[in-house]
Amino acid sequence: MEKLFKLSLLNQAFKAIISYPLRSFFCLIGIALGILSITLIIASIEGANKRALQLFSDFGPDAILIFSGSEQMRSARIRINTLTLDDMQAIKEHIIGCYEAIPMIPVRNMNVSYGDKKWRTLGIGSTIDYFTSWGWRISDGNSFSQEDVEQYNNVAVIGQEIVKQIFNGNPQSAIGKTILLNKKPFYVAGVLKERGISFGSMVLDDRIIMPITTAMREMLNERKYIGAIRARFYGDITSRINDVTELLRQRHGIKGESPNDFTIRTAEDAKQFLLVLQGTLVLFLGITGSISLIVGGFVMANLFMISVQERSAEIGIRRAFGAKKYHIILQILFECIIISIAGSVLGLFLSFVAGKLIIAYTTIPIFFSHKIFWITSLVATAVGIISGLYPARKAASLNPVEALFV
Amino acid sequence: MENTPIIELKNLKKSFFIGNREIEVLKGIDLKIYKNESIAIIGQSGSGKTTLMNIIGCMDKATSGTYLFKGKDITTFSDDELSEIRNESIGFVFQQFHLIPYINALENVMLPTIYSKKPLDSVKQKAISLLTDLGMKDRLYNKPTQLSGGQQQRVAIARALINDPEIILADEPTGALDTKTSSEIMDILVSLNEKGKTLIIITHEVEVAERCKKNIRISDGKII
Ligand SMILES: Nc1ncnc2c1ncn2[C@@H]1O[C@H](COP(=O)(O)OP(=O)(O)OP(=O)(O)O)[C@@H](O)[C@H]1O
Ligand SMILES: [Mg+2]
Repeated sequence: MEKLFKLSLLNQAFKAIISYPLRSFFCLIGIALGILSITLIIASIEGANKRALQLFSDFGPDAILIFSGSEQMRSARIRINTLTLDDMQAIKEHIIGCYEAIPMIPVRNMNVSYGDKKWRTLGIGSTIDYFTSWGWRISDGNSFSQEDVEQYNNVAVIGQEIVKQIFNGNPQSAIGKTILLNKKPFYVAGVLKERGISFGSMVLDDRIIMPITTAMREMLNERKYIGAIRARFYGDITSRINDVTELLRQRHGIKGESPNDFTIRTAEDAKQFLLVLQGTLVLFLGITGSISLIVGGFVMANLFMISVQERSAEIGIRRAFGAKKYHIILQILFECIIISIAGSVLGLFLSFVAGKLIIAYTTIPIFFSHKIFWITSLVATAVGIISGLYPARKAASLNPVEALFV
Repeated sequence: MENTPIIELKNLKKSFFIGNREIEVLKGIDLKIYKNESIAIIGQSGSGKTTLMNIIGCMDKATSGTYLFKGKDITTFSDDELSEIRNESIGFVFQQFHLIPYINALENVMLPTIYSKKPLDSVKQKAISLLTDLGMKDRLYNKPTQLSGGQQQRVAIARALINDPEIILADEPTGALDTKTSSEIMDILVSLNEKGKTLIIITHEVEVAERCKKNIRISDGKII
């Protein structure tokens, strides 16, 4: 009974929506655009969170990175090298729980050429443990060997971006070729598996790994210092960081209040960096999304005000045949809510399309979860109710006689 | 009980305000309407007929005076209570038909049932049979704009009947129709009265007034 009666009001609302297509269309578009931006915001927040988690596990929750240079120097972009291979050895030997330590030295802006193809990339010198430590598999060919490290051999493992730029995206064709790195010939032993992630403007796949010895002697003419150490530990990471700090300060002869000449980063820091990066974006998008949704709601409220005026005879008729004020309110609200929900479905669809495009053409992470569906439905219903309330009350408060005879 | 009027108005007055100027349209109406009467309210244009009908039909409230509906004083009834009376006891028929343009004939007829508290079973069957009785069997699914004036008024009459009201309240029901169609519509309204409905028609046409058993003339806001 009660249910049937509610259904018939809904039914009237549906018919009114279909019968005023232009009004309904503009309301629908307004809401859809609002929902589109809200959805993209949520999807990019969720994408960022997912990527941060990915980054966290890629980095390794039990790992630290030690860079040369103090915190202040790093933020001022002053590069000095203070860490040595001996420091690395000391960490490995003296810190309890350290089960792995690898050295890294960057060769920045390294020129790659093969035939007439040219590219500029980041070179990294390290040991054979680089790949297992970062959990970065070799998809084609092989790693350089321990022997290559010991004999300063010019052997390289190249990232997928290099394959794309130099070898037309065909990793097999790269294996065994000789490429020039800063004009020195290197044998391509293997290709890294695609990682697909970028970190700020840095594309992880755009790099070439070579033996640390080769990088130091052949590329950088560096005898002693290295760029960074990556170490992994068993047990509590915080106390290990303290141990490492103490050890390095002692080895570098830093006393008292003097600042460290090195910087330690953890997975937590890496995650934080990404979240901060997203934070400003989220704020911007959040404001944009809210504004577009408010505009959508405003458009709807105004169009319904006009509509209520146009339909005053209809409202008078309904009142004459026994509609109470709340029946009129409900019908107008139902109309608004139905349009809003339809708009949110359209907006959701548009956002899926936009999401696909964003994923295809940018590095912004986008992830759609079922949460988005519920949030947008809820938001759409709320917008429908809020923007419908004023016109609905206006309609219900019309004097039935005047509504009928104007 | 038999002598209780279905509608009783005592010294009913109605004023409108235009700015701060008061215009008294009804200047003390005393009227008793009994069950199964058929009454024509006649009078010149501007004499206050529609104003009176709006008050009788619980669409508007008097400025002063008493309105007893089936013996009950409804002067102080709330908007919702008056809506219920309109829904259950009064069927309006208007000069301009006043059908809702975006729903079809059948849906227009069923409209009052949306707002009624009575069970809704077989409403559709009842609407179809009402329209069929009025010769509208082939026009059930037409929108109002696809119907002639006479056909629209038949739909409006069926709508007025769907909730089985005691009173049919018609304001110039033939005002927008030609002579032949007018008399057909009057045939229908008179036959409803013969079947037991109380019929109140507002008109200024002599032909229409003659078909009602009782005529009430209103002039300058008073019954004469
Ligand atoms: N809402 C209103 N505000 C101000 N004046 C009104 C209002 N409604 C009616 N009037 C005035 O009250 C008077 C009576 O109007 P009413 O519509 O009752 O006349 P009527 O007898 O039905 O006339 P007609 O035969 O032309 O339909 C008229 O002078 C009209 O201008
Ligand atoms: Mg009139």
